[in-house]
Amino acid sequence: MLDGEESLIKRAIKGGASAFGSLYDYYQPRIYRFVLIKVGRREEAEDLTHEVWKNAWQNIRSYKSVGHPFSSWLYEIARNQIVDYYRARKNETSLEKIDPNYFVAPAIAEFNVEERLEIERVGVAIQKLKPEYQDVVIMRFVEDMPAKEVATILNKSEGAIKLMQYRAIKELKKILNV
Amino acid sequence: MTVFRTAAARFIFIVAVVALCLKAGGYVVLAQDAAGCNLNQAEFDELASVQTNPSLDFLEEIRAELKIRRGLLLQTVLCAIKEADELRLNLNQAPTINPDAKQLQEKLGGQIEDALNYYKLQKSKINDLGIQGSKDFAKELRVWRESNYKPLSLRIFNFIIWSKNQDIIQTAQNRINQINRAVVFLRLIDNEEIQNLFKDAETSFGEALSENQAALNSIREFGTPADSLGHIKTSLEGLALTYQKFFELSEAIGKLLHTD
Amino acid sequence: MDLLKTLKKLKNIKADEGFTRKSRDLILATSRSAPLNTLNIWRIILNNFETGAALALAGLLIFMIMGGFSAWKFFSPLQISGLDQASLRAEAQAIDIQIQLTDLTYNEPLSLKLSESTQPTQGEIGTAPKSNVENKKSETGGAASPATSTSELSIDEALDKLGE
Repeated sequence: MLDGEESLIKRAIKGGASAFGSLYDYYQPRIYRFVLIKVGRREEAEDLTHEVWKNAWQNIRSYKSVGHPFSSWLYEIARNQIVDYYRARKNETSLEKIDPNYFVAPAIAEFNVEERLEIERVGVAIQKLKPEYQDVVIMRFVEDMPAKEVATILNKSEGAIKLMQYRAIKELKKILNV
Repeated sequence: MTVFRTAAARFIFIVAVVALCLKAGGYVVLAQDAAGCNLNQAEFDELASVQTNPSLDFLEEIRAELKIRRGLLLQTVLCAIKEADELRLNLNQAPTINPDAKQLQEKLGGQIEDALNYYKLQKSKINDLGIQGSKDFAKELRVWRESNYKPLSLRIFNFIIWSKNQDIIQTAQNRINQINRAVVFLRLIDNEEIQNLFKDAETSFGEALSENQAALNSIREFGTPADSLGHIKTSLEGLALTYQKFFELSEAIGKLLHTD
Repeated sequence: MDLLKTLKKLKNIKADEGFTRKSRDLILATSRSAPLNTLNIWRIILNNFETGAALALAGLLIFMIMGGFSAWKFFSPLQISGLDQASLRAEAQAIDIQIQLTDLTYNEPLSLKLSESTQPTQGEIGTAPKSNVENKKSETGGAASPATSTSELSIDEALDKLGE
């Protein structure tokens, strides 16, 4: 959570663009990562991330912290956006033309070629998991979020999250044959 | 863990189960139907009395014994056929909600059909049997039932119970969805007690679902019937726990609404 | 491959800076939708529910609020929330019956006597065949001697006897 987040949110609700901008700066990277890992393609991830934030800014007034932190609300918008995206793709093209599992690791200076290939393999493998497992893997193991926070975001108990993460990793290992 | 804990309540449910089995035939009935299948001890006693009847000469005794034996064998096989037929009927009537389950139902149906054909083939041999032949026949059929029919019938039992559980699971899922919407709508979402109870209900339900799938996989992959049934039972216990949480939620929400 | 290590590496992924800057500016430059008014509040709340349930719930709540305490007697919020005890009890009973059935099947895998037992023995069903047989009413109507003529055999018992 961002320092002073509550006050930023209150200001954003009242129309404070710069307050919302601060929230954007803090949360955008993880929302982008979340979307990119789930859809695999950079252009789509950028479009979807833009839509998520546009949605959030348009509807910030309807955000109420009724037991759901701001990040949880953002992730919910992101998840819904991704569902709509897949629904639209299914309607537009025949399934055979879509490669369901596609992930290109962005060119990042820190990674060598081998690491990039490894990351791409893992990215494709994550896409083979069911959506809930994908969410848990991304939040727990990529973003390193505490189980309690993930539980709140996904509206599950901590115990359920821990069980899901165990199963998700097990399945990932099976897919990757490691 | 069941919701009803007293011995009296448990007794009532056992009677209810028996009543259900007797009445609607909604559950599997493996027993012999009195109307069409009657393996009476008295007839077997008759066999013993023929063997020890001093008024019969050797040949008469053999003829009498053979006649009774063939008659009893025929009755027994007919009972077995009836039993398998009822099992097949119950299997076909089991509701199936997904293609996997439907496929398994068909596979099991094919296997019980094979069992019925086996019985019918054996039945056709009875009239050609001598006394020793009929004893061997009875022993072989017994062994066949033990190693083939019984495991199959257990598997089908488990499948039928599993398929009937799907409705219960769907009902519980609908409940959870309903409660979720109502808790948000009634603005109780930030109440810690309600949150915890709801999450506990979700966890138990998740475990019930998981065990439910494990049960189907076990039946499909020919896991031991005891294992499959174990998963089914654990799934049901998960559901019972979920409902326990629903009751607690009901009390907690009731208290909150009445103090508002 | 160390899977967990590789997953952590994914955290290094960031959006293109140019995209981020442009997206942020575009978003903050757009004006937001009309201010919330009563109509919008209802629209937002109702959008979270299936339409039918939402309208029913809304109607009921209005009725209860206007009706005061007397209305609560007839339309308990617990009934609306899906937590009314009566229906929960009925559903819990169904689960219990299924659990009892798995117990029966567990203890006596082929409960051949299940349909013959009109009355359970001392709380147990599907115990050893002989005790169920002894409890059974006479089917033939003949006078019963304690161990023999009215008792029925299971298929397996019959085969055992015929194999002797």
